[in-house]
Amino acid sequence: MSGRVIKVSGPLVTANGLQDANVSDVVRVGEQQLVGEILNMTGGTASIQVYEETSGLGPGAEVITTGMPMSVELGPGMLENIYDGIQRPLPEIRALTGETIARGVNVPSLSRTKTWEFVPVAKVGDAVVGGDILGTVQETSAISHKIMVPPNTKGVITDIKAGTFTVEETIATLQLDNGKTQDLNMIQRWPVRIQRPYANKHTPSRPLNSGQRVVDTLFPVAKGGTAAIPGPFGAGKTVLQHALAKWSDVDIVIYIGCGERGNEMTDVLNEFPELVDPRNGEPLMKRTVLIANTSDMPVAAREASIYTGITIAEYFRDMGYDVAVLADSTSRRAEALREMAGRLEEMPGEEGYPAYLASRIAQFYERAGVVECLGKDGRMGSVTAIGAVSPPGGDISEPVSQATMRIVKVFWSLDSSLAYARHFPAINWMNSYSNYDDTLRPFYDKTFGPTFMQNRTKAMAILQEENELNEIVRLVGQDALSADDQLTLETARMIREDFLQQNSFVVEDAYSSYDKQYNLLDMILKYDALCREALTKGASLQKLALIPARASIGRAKTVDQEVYSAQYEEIIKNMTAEINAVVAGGEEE
Amino acid sequence: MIKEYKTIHEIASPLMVVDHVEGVTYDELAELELPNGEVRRCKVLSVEGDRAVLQLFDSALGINLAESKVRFLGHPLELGVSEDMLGRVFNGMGDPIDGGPAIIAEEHRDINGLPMNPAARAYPAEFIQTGVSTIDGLNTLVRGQKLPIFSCSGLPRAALAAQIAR
Repeated sequence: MSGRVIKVSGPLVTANGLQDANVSDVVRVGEQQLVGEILNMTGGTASIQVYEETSGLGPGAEVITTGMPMSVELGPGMLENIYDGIQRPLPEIRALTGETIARGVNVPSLSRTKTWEFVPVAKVGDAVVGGDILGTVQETSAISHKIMVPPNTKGVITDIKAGTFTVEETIATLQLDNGKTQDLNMIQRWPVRIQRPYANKHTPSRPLNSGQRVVDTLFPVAKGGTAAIPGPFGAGKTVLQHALAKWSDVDIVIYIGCGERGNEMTDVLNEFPELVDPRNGEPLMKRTVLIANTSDMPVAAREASIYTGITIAEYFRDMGYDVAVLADSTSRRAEALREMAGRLEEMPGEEGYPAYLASRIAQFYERAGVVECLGKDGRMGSVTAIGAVSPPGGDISEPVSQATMRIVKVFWSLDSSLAYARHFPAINWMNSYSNYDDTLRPFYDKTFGPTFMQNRTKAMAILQEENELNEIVRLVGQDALSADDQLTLETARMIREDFLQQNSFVVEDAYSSYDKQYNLLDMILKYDALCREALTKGASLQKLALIPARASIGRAKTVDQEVYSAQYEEIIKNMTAEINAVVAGGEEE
Repeated sequence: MIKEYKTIHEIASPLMVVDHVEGVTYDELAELELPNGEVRRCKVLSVEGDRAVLQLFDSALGINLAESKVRFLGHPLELGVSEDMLGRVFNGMGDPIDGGPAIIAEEHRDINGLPMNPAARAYPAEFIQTGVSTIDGLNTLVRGQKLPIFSCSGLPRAALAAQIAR
């Protein structure tokens, strides 16, 4: 079925003669076979958004529909790969066309020549339904890729093979209920704009351990939850996203570089193969899929990159893995929507964004969640969606930030004044929030006892109080405060500098386990409690602030993960002795 | 054969609409010849059926709708590049304005370029010494990075840019 171009205006092409095409079909435009997608249809006239540069295209050029909606290929070979917004593998494009991306390149998403060792777990005669695991492929040393029966398929296995196959070769044959047989290979195709099915959705109840103290202790995100990182330029959105991609205790990370700098993707590509996962000792790249639509790549594919990423994430979730999707940045995607809406002459909404902006943003975040996967074994998987938002001028009253805040449950507000003060990660503790603290409370109570949540509340209260006290200090000076209040300021400073600040360039500090975080905060609060008690006995605050244990607490965050607990005990022992000595000395005076 | 059209429908500077065109493509470069022989350049912003909307690169001053002619050149704005370009001065359209001879092109390149493959990038790591101490010492410039200079009217941004270029 082919039509003819009648109008070209940037990435928007109008063509007629496409009566038989469907809305959302992928089409190939012109001699160069540019990839496009049908946005809307009036009679036989279709508006097509083209995912590549359209210069040189004119009326009369041929448009061929593939009859398929925008889909991704799911199967072994995705991990460690880097894709563009419409799932074309960039390393293979590089081999074909060199340093730049030529137009109309047609490369399969999954390598057709690479072979995989397939180990069946199902047997001939098994009755299987969509989601059941047929067998496994060790895709990378860290991840075993489970080959599943595609959703909406049901039948009895009549043949299943073991051995080495390419993704296209048949590995199993099913006898379907209607008597037909179906050959299955390792590829599943799935339209990106449709959510992959699951059996049941559950409430997120386990925290995502990101190794970042301010995130895990103060503003935790649950596995299967949603979080947004808004922040002005230079506040560290990308660095925080990278840190989450590196250290989160998930099985798979999908990193979508959407309209951001190409050099940042290079950074990920250089760094991840060298970094080692603290949990299994494997390079982090072995569990990562990268999707890059950098700011110089065509704008129409930017919108698609978000869907491509989340669909790949759902596929890994269906295997029973915990997946994190990091999108940097969702603002660029909203701007891409705005650009296309303008070309389509749609009615502009707030700040020129299309009226459906909020629902499109919701479509991305709503695909996160903890689910019981399809299949008979009832395995659980999760997708956690974390999006960066770059509000122009850092003003979060703009539409993208507002629409995002309505949907996400965790809000890590980055603050440029903290970034300029070299406080990293620059998450502002006064206006960030996490709505998962209640759903996660049972987990914390079970793992660390009730002290964890108590300490967290106490630390938040101290930081809040510091904020209020600072206003008084600005008016009358610190000396006018009571010793008790001065101690609060001191403790708040310790929480900020010795706990919340984290240096990603110091190996021991870049990743902080939950246990270490808990003990570190507990130690700081113990110092606070002991000093408060000492103050009632008449000890001098100046002397309490100068005890050597203070310096040890300051260095405690950089203590190696393996040996920290012994050292922390030592610090607490010294601290108690030193405070007691101050109390004793104070009485002598 | 290049066709000349005398079917200019409308001019609203810097836009121009030409009717009854054939085989015109998006982003194509075109030349507008005035009755007095003067040639101005423009490019296609959108084509719909046999009507093309063009953007003029120069002013619309003195254009006669009936007598002026439009020629479509069949390629986007390209620049002939050569190593001899070093040391020369050009205007925004790539024509020499230093009084020297025209450049003999080694290669013609589309000025819009193609996007760079992120998989082919190397991470910028080489320091560029600019000799401006506040840049070198505090806000280092790295080879392959981009660095905008934010300025207001009255501040010597051009002088700073020239100093960095030097």
